[in-house]
Amino acid sequence: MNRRPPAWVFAMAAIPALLLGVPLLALLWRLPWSNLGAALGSDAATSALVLSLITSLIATALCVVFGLPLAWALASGRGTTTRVVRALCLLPIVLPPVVGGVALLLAFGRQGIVGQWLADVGVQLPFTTAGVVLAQTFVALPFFVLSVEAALRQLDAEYSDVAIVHGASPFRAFVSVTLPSVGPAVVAGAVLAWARALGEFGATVTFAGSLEGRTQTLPLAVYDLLERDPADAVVLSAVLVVVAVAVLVGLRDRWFGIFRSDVSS
Amino acid sequence: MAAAFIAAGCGGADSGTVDVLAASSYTDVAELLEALLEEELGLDIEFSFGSSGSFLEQIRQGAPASVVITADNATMQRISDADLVDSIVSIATNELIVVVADTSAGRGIESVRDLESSGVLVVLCASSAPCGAATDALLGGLDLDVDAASREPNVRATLTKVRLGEADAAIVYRTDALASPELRAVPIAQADNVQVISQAAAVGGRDNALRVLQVLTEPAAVAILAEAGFGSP
Repeated sequence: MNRRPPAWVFAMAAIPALLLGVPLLALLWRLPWSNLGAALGSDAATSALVLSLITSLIATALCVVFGLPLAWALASGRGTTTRVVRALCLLPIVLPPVVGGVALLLAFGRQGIVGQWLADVGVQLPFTTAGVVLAQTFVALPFFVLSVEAALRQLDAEYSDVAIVHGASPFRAFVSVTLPSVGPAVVAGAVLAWARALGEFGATVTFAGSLEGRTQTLPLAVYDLLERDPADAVVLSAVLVVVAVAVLVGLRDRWFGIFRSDVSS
Repeated sequence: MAAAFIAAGCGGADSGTVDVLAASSYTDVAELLEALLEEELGLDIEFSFGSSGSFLEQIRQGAPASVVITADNATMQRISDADLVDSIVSIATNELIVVVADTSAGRGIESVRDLESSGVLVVLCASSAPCGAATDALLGGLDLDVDAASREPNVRATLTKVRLGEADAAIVYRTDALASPELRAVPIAQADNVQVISQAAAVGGRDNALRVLQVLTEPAAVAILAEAGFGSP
């Protein structure tokens, strides 16, 4: 697979590469450098930044804490239940986020099938920061679970078997033998989940609404600003781009085993 | 195939189709207006909806619209200032009203002042949308400080939160309240202080737009709009 492809392949390849690259360059090109500080320093921008960071990090933590057991269970299972649950895990990736938001409302909204019980005990999720976290977790969880599950499945079960034979409990063997060997996948999954949570829009605006300081995350602020002050919207968009690029570059070599260019050589 | 795709994408401007970009409050009345326009002009009319606040950018970026209808005149003024439209006509007026859901907190609401009380979950339009700008002006004029749970991107999204019972009350246009008879509407006595004038205009250089504007100001269209709760400008 090392033979050089013919020239026309490169010509064809340039088209999608440009499709991905040009919009991002355009965004940076149109960045209003002169009022960068003012745009970032505005109340709406700062509170959206802070809110986005906090909610996306909590959502990521939830993905890790609950996603690890789920990935482990899925990786060990063979039956119909496993297949159904794995399909459930894939669904939020395929589903339009706004549909996810509607589904969340029907489940956890005030009149929702679970939400009406929550309301009885005084728990309200729509229009709250917790609702934002829930929406983000809903859309981000699959990225973590699928990434970790794939790594667990590829792992040679022998090592943890050896540990168990030597007297370790299955949990102990998982933590001390299995987990370290899938570490890169856990980190990569967590980063993907975080990036997805940070960029979440549709499910959030549908389920949690949009209120500065409480539920208006960065993407929602961008959408709102686009109608009021497009230049400021470009600045906030650029922030999201810079964060995304920083994540990819910063973690490329150390953690992103699955993305490494030399992986197939 | 790519050529066919591109041709289909640009068909609106020169084939028989006239695209109308309308504020989301026209969602329900559009079907009747569309039928009227098609009958009078023998053209294929296609309405699409959005928040008026997004129209300026959409038209600037080449949205295939021959006619644009904004919810308020301030928004139209901004589009006009950018030299994107001409032949502006006022076609309807609207005013704000409170809609309440059949929830325990909702049932207690008798006036716009009740929105101030705690325990009532209120959603309002975002200030960037015309309904939100009007709401801010109205509440400011009444010296009311309503603690909104959310500022939704457009009036329909605001209405939806009450229709789903997720919010107890919202401030929307009178036409939206009429379009959702299952919700109780609480008129605001001072609402006529904030008249919202909806305007239509031709997007520069598009065919047939002036004919559409002409029909929109004729009695038949005025009657359709009046039926939906719009006032005459």
